[in-house]
Amino acid sequence: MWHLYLPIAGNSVNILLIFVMGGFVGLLSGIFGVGGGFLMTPLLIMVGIPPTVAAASDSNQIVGASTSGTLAHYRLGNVDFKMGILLLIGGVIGGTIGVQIIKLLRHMGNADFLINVTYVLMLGFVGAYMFIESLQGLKGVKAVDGPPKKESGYARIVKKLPWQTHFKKSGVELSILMPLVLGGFVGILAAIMGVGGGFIMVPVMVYLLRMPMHVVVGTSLFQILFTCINVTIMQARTNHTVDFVLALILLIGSTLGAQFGAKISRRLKGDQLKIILASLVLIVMVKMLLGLLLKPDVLLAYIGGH
Amino acid sequence: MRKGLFSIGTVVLIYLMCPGIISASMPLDITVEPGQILIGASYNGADISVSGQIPTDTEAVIRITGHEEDSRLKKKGQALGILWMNLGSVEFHNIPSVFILYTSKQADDPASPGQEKLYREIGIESVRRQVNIVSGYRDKDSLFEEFIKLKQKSGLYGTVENSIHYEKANSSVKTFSASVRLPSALPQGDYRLEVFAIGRDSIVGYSEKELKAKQTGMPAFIATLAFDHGTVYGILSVVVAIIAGLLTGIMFKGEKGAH
Repeated sequence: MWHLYLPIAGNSVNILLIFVMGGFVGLLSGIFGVGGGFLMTPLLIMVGIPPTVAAASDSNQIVGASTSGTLAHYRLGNVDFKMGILLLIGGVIGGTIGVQIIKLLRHMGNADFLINVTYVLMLGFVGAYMFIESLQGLKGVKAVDGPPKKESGYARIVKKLPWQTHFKKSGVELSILMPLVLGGFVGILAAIMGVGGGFIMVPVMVYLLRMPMHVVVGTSLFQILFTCINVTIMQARTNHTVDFVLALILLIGSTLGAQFGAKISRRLKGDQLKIILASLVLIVMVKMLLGLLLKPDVLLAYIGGH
Repeated sequence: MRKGLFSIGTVVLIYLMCPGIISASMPLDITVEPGQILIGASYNGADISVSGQIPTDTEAVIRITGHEEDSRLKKKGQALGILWMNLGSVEFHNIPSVFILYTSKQADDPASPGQEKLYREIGIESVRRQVNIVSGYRDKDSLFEEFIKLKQKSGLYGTVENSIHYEKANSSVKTFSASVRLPSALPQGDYRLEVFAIGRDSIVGYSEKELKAKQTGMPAFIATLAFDHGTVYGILSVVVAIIAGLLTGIMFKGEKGAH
């Protein structure tokens, strides 16, 4: 009796199961400010949703979840709109360039190889760096020798850039070029890998823009909201792969999850948040690596999946 | 007149599909209920009841096939000798969208070698004969096996044993009945339901009926909107998602205020 037939996915699903999946991913999204696409899409494929429909409906779902998450973080004073908009502009430009790069790669062949290797390396590098850094932070090592060391190289270049401006919410002084260029960089990677990019954007904001972790989460959700609105409409128009009913059930679960997530996020320390997110990123990396190293059950796959 | 043509067509059809194993086959009298499957909001697979009479010394086999289609799939292989990933693509032409066989066979009850061969001929071998694989890979047989595995995973291909039961039998005919389970992922379209009566080493009886699967109600409405008015559908999906997100946000604020 809990089954519902989904016309675009072309299969029937258990409503409760989808609701619980939405809640779980929403919780993570609210805590860490990631869209959760890298978790949700594989879960949906496991319950019998075609890969292309899973990915597109998930971005529709993220629109709702990140609206709810952004609102919750905004109330807690955690959204830096100025930074978010600049990152977004960079992201849109980067995304457009990324789509062209992927076209070129596909034309040359071997695109999947590059995408997979980039994915694993990025996840491994980002996860390991965050993990080690926040572990040191928890032990209290960073406070002593952190600042003087970081004055070298990177920091000096950043200070010399033109159009320095103050970001009040984040409490940092940066050139406008920084979020534009970094947003563009994440946009390129996200387009190539076919993901929202939250899990790359968060470390970029923490380590390269030096924003406090709590503001990072709220600002990341704000930016993801717009990215996913764009993806949902594009997918609905060109590929007809958005299952609105599926998205709505996921959404009810995930918006509730995201609200709880934002509250949990507030209770955890920045370093604790970072270390949990780093572990999550590393787990996904290991899963992908195993997927590359182990022989798959079936040697054929539908086009559009991972 | 029509019936005569039908059975001639039928014999020719079976002959084309299973060359060399048909001696002479007679049309069977079968009942299929319902003839149309409505895919509404509560659809979760459907049961079709099939019954009829076959000669006493034969076994019934029911086969459901969807329309033929072409499909392009990614082929996985090893890059640099260690990494498994998509390397190139394979095209499969003229493959049925759905292919399910229902038999009366019990797991612990082996059929005679002749019958075993007939099961295969009616089953997966008939797909193998009609499919055309276009690919740079030479090993077409293993590509075909992989293709069947992929289809079985989605529930659209398969064999359901022990799903046909026999009731009364006299010296010449026996009654069979089956409740045929259709998968929840069944695409909308026309299907062919066929019944074979197989003897010791040949097909002795055959009949076929049309089955229609059609979306109705809410699923039909949503599918029409999504496929015919994609942009409007996309914008609506986004707007509803934002409203739902805001509503939960407001709900939670109210709760917070009450504390």
